[in-house]
Amino acid sequence: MQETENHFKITSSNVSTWYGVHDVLKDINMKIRRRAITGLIGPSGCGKSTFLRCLNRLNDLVANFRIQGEISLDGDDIYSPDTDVVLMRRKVGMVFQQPNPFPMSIFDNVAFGAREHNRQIKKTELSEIVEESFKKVNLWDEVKHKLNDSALNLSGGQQQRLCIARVLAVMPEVILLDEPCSSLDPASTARIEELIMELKNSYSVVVVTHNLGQARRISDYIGFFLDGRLVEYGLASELINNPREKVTGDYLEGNFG
Amino acid sequence: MKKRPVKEAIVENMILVCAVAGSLIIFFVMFFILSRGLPVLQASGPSFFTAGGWDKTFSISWSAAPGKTNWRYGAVELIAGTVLTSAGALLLAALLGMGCAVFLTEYCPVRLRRPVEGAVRLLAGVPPVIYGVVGLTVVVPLVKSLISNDLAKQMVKICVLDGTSMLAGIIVLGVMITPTFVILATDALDAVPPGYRFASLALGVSHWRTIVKIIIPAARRGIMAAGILAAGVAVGEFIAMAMVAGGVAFLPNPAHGLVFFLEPVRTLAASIFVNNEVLGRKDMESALFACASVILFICIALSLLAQLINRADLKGGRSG
Amino acid sequence: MSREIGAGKLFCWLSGVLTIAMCLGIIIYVAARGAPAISWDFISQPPKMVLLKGLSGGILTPLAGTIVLTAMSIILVLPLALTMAVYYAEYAGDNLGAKLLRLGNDVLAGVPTIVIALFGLIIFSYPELSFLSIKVAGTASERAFGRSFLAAAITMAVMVLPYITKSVEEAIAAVPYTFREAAYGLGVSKWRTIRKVVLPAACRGIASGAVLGVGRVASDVAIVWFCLGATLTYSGPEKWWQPQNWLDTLRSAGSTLSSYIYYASPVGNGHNAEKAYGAALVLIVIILLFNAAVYYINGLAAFRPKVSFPRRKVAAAAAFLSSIPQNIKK
Ligand SMILES: Nc1ncnc2c1ncn2[C@@H]1O[C@H](COP(=O)(O)OP(=O)(O)O)[C@@H](O)[C@H]1O
Ligand SMILES: [Mg+2]
Repeated sequence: MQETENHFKITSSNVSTWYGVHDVLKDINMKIRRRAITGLIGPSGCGKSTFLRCLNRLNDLVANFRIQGEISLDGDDIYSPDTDVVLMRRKVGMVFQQPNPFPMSIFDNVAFGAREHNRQIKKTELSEIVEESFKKVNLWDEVKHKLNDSALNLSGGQQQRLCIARVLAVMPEVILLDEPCSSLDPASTARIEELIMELKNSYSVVVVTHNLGQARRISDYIGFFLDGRLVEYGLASELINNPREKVTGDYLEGNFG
Repeated sequence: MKKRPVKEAIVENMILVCAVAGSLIIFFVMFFILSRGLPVLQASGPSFFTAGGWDKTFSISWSAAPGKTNWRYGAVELIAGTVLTSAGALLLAALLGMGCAVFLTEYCPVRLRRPVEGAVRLLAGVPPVIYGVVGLTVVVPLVKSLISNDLAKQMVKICVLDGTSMLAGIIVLGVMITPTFVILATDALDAVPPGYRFASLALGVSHWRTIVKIIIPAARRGIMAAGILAAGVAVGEFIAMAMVAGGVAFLPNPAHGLVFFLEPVRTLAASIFVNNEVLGRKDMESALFACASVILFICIALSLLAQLINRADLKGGRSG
Repeated sequence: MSREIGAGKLFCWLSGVLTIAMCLGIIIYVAARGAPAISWDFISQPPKMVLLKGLSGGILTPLAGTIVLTAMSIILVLPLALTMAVYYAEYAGDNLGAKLLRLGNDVLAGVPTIVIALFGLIIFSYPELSFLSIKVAGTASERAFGRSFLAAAITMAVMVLPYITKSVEEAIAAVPYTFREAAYGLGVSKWRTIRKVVLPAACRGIASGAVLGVGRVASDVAIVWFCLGATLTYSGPEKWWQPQNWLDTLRSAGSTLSSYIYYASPVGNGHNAEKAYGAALVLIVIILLFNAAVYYINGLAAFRPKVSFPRRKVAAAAAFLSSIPQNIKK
C-alpha cells in the first residue's frame, strides 16, 4: 500500500534539541502514523522523553531548552509563532511516567479539562463526558460509587487509568504516553496495555517504553533511539525480527541498555 | 556491652527532664499572664470588650486616692484598633504578597529570582522599630498631607488628626508583614509537585488557568498558614504601631466617611507599651495583663486554626 | 506564545515589581539617611543627653548592649531548645500529651514579645529574684528593680525558646528516615544515632534556628524596654570592661540599638532622626553580617570531610540502603 502524507499525523523534520549546551536530540526525522501505536525504545537517557515532550511543547517550560527543525501536526508547524500552544496541547494529550492525579476528587480530575475548555458546559453534559471517559479506560465500575473521594486514595494502576481518562475527556487527537507502566505492578500493566491497544482505534498513540516485551506486544511501528539519534524506525514486526542496523540487534538481544 | 545502655538511659532521662522543664516554662508563662489578667477580666466581664473610655479610666485610676482601686475597664477602642489595623494590613499583605509570590514562582526571569528573594528575606529581617522610624518620617507626613487644615480644625473636638492614623498603621504594618507572607507563600507554591503543572498544561489548559485552578489550590494550606502567621505578627506588633498609628485610645467612627481612616487608633499591644508607667499599681497592672490575655487568646485561636488547616482532611489530600 | 496577558498576569507583575521596589526602597532609604551619621565617634562614644541640645554622642553602649544581650540569651536558650527539639522529634511520639506540648510551643512562638516582656518584668520584680538585678531600697512594697542584663537575657531566652525549638525540630524531622534505619540496622543505639547521624545532618537547621533567634533578640524593643530598662545612659559601674565589674554590669540596666533607635526617633525623648537612622543602619548591617557568617560557616560544614568513623560507616550504609528500592525496580 502506498503511503501518502495523509497517513501521517505528526511529522518531525530535522529536529535537534539542546538543554543548555548539552545536545540531546540530533536531527530526528520521523513521521508518526494516524490511528496506530508508535513505540519509542532505547536505553535510558537517549532522549525518548525529550522527543515526546517536544511533540506537545512541554519542553518549553525548561528554562534553557532550545529546539531546531520542524514538528508539524496535520501539516501545521507547532513551533511556529502563529500556533496557539494551549489549543495545540488540547489536541495532543500526555500521560506521564508517574501517575499524577490532581489533588482533587476523582470526578473533578476528569472533569477539570473539559470544564476549562468550555466554562459554560452543562452539568449533565459534563457528567456524561466523565462517565464515558471512565468507561473507556475500564475504571467506571471501580469508581462510580466514590466519585467524590480524593483521587490520591486510588491505587497506582487506578491512578494511571484515571490520568488516561483525564486526557480522553478533553477529546485529543494524539495521546503521548511516557513509560506509563514503569511504576505499576504486572496486573495493572496488562490492563493499561490492553487499554492502549483499544485507544488506537480512535487516536494516534505514541508510547515510550524501555520494556521490549511491551513494545513488541502493543506497537505497530517502533522507533529505536540511541544517543539522541533515531537509529531505526519501521514496522514493529520487521524491526524486531530482522533489524537493519547492527546496534538495533545488539540492543534487542539485551547486549546493552 | 552492658554499661552503655545505662549511660544512655541517663542521657535520655536528662532529655526528658529538660523537655519537661522547657514545656513547664512555656505553660507557666501563659498561665501567669492569664492569671494576672483575670481580676480585671472578671470584674469587667463582657464590658471589657464592649465598653470604651480606656484612657479616661486610666487617668482616674492613676490619680485615685491611695488604697482605692478600680478593676473595671473597657478596652473596645484597643480591640477595635487591633482588629482594624491587623485586618487592613493582612488584606494588603495578602493581595500584594500573593501577587508577588506568584510573580516570583511563575513569571520572574530565572536569573532575577535569587536576588529578589534575597531582598525580600532581608526586609523580613528588618527590626520593627526601623519600620516604625521610616513610617514616622515617611508615611505619616504623607498621610498628614491628605489632611487639610480645615478638616483638622473641624475635627479637633473629636480627635487630633496629625497624620498618625489608622491608615498609616495599616500601611506600615502591611509593608512589614508582606515579606514574611511572600516568603512562606513562595515556599508553598514551590512545594507543589511539578507533575500537577505538566498534567494541566498537557491538557491544553493555559498557564494562568493552571495557576489559578491547580497550583494555588494545591498550595492553599501553605498559603493559609502564611496568612495566619502574618496575622499573628500583625496582632502583636506594638512599637511601630505606637509610633505611627496614634497615641490615643480612640474609637474611629465609620460615620465620618473616609476620614475614618485618618483617625488615630491604638492597639492592645501598643497600649501595654504606652501605659507601662502604671506597672506596680495592682489594678492597672492587671488591666494591662488583661490586654495581654486577649492577645494570648488570639494567638491560641490562630495556632488552633493553623492546626486545623494542617489536619483537615479536605478533599484533595496532601499539599505543600 | 503568550496570548494570555490578562489582568491576572498584569496584577502579579505589578505586585511583584511593587514589592521589590518597596524592599529596595526601604533598605536604600535607611542606608542613605543613616550613612551621614556614621563616623568613628558615632561608634566609639557613648550617647549623651544634653538638656538644650538634645541627644548627642554615639552608640557605644547600645551597641555593646545588643552584642552582650544577644550572646547571653542565645547561650542560655540553645541547649534547652536543642534538647526540647530532640525530645519532640525523636521521643515524644504522636500521643495527646505530645500534641499538647507542641501546641503550647506553637502558641508561645506566636505570642508577641510585649506580652513576654510584661511577664518578665513582673517576675523579676519579685524580691526573691533581686540577685538578678538590684533591690529597690526604701520602698514599702519591697520589690526588686527587675531590670538588668541578666533579667533581660533570661526573658529573651524564654521569648525565643519556642522559635528555636520549632526550627530545630523541623530540621530534625526533615532528616530522611532511611538514615536512621541504616544506623539501627548496624546495631547503633537510638541515642547514638541521634547524636552521630541525625543532629549532624540537621546542623543547618540548628544554625538557621540560631540565626532566627539572634534576629529576634536584636530586633526586639519590648523586653529591652521592660526588662533592661532601656536607659539611654549607662548606669552600671564606670569601668565596665574590667572583669571584677562584669557581674555588677550584668545586674545593672542598659540599652540596645533597637531601644536607642526608638529613643532617638521623633517620638522618643531624644528626637534626633539622623542618629536613629544611623543606629538603624548599624543594626541592619549587624543582622546581615551575622546571617552571612552563619551561611558561610554552614556552607563550609557541608563540605567538611566526614572523618569520624561511625558516622562514615553509617552514611555509607544509609546511601546503600536508600539505593535499594531503585535497584529492585530496574
Ligand atoms: N530538564 C533537563 N535539563 C537538562 N538536561 C536534561 C533535562 N531533561 C533531560 N535531560 C538530559 O537529556 C538526556 C535525555 O533525557 P531523556 O529524554 O529523559 O531520556 P530518556 O527518556 O530516553 O531516558 C539525558 O542525558 C538527560 O540527562
Ligand atoms: Mg524518559
